Amino acid sequence: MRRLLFRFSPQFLDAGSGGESRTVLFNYRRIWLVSVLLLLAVSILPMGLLVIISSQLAREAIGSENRLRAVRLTSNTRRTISFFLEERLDALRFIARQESFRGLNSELQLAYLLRDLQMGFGGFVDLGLINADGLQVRYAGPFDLTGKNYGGQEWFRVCVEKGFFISDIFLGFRQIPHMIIALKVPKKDGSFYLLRATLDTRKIIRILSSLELSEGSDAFLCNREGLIQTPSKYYGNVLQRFELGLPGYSPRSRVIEARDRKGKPILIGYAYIKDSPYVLILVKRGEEIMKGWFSLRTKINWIFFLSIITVCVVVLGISTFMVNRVYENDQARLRAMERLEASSRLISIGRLAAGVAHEINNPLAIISENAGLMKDLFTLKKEYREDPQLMGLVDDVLESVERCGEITKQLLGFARHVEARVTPIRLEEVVAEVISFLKKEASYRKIEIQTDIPSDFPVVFLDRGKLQQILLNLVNNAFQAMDDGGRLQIKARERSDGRVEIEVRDTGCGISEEDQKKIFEPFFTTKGTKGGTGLGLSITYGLVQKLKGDIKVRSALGKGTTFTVVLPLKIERKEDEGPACG
Amino acid sequence: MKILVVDDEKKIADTIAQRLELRGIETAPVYDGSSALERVRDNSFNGIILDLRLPDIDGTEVLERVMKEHPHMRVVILSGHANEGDFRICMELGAVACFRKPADIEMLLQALSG
Repeated sequence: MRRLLFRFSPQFLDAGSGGESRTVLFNYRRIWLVSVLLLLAVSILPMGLLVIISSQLAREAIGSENRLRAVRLTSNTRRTISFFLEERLDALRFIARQESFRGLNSELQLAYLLRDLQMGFGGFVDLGLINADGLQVRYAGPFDLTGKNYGGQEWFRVCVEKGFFISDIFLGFRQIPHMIIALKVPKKDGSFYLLRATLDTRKIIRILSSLELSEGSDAFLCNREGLIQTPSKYYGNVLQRFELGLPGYSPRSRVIEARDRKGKPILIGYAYIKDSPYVLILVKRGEEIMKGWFSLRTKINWIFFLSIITVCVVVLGISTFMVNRVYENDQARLRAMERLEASSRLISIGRLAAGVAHEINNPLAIISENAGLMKDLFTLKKEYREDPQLMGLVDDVLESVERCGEITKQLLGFARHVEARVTPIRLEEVVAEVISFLKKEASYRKIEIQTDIPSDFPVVFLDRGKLQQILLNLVNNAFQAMDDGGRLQIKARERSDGRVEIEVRDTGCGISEEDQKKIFEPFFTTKGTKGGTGLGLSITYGLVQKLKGDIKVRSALGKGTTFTVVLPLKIERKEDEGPACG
Repeated sequence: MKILVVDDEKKIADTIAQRLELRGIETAPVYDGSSALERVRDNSFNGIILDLRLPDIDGTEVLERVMKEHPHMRVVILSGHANEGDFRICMELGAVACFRKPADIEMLLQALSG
């Protein structure tokens, strides 16, 4: 597991954690952390906000949609019940218009009418004719109520006053829930009579139970005192008080939010039914109401969760990749800088050595000449000449000076010769390296680089640094000769004479016949003052010579230039050079 | 034989001159290029020991002018600073030998007397 982690953990994680000798330019972990946190923040925060806002909106939309639906259902049901009651009253009105009091004042006729009402409308239990004194003069129905006097009863008074009456639902002496409706009919002589009918409540109950209500919802009637009139599934028995209390009067259908006795949220839709004692109550449970919302919320939450995971993975991946790339580039740059530093350090050491040697030579000369003069003077005087100690001292000084001179000579030599190191080289690697130095410029200047090195090209044993320098100088030269959009070709092949040939061809400005003879001379340049030092090609020439090779140039003005370098497969290592790594 | 010793380092010029005197050679030490050219003009010198680094005129220029006026003058270069390139130029200009300081007086003498 650790190894697996190690395999996938990016290189920069270990950088800068101490213990590493390699220089680190930045705290890559921090860069990585900052980039990850920043990216996560800017991607997840807006997403979260969006989710919260859209949830809120969806919740509100679903809530108001539910209220609207409840209002509509309440209103429709109210209309149906209202219509039902109106229809029964109209039936009585129809009878009163159709038949005179005389015609109605007959048991048989009343029985016929009751039968017709039962067949035509349904719900009628009995029918009675009551005179202005409240005496039931005629009655048709299952009971014997003829002669019953209603004169003192409340409903009679109301009916006489208002012209019609609709009663609460009550059990009566038969213990069956029923209701009565009554109609005041004026007679021609100025007095009046009443038509009274008992209605079965089953039809109303059927209207309410036929509503398509979801689980936990309820629809029933109350009277204006809050007594339940038709069976309720959850909120009490018939003629018991509605436990949640009757909402205040409103002329229109309304919906209110409330809580049931368990404290759960419910929606109560209600409507006071006009010209009747009834209030329609419609109860919907909160869970039912928000069912759609819950499933939507689950969906949203899942999508949000998966998005966050995806964002996390992508952000981590991208950040890691980018920081790793930066790290790798920095490392490559560092290595290049180190190389450069090493070579420039070598040059500085050489310069320093040469300077020191030069400065020391003069004082050495003084010592040498003075000691020499002393020796000369001693030689002239016999007593000194024959003193072996004196002569020995002077000779020692001269000898030491000579040794010092030898050392300064070597120091001067060091500045000039940086020893050759012979290593096995794969040419394509060196070419790739050289191209990599100029890749940026090439893409910027749209210069196409083609390499053609056969796969069976032999490994050569040469000085890598020198070969690289040669190629770099030639490619650099080609780049300077070309306008943007040129083409550079690097070709290599093995020659039949056991040497290798490397061609660097450009589509640049070309070199005139005359200049071709001089281009390898030091300080020769066609670039004028702003260009190079005029040393590039002469150094290249020197390097090729040191590798025991040849360099030639072919060129046509305006068409391009081809440099051909011929090198041996290997150069012998000098005896005193030691191991290749030096 | 008369030798002109030219060196910006007075001690070196004097010492070399004195050592040559001890060997029976007439000498004249000078410490800059212009006085060297002036002294050469009286035509009495057979040879010159010339340093390349001089305060006024560069040693190679002194050499060039001397050789123009006195093509047979034997000039030996004695320098602590020059490299092989400078020596090659001096040889081309007509110096008979080039030595790096510190040099053996006998070898200088040998080169001067040919």
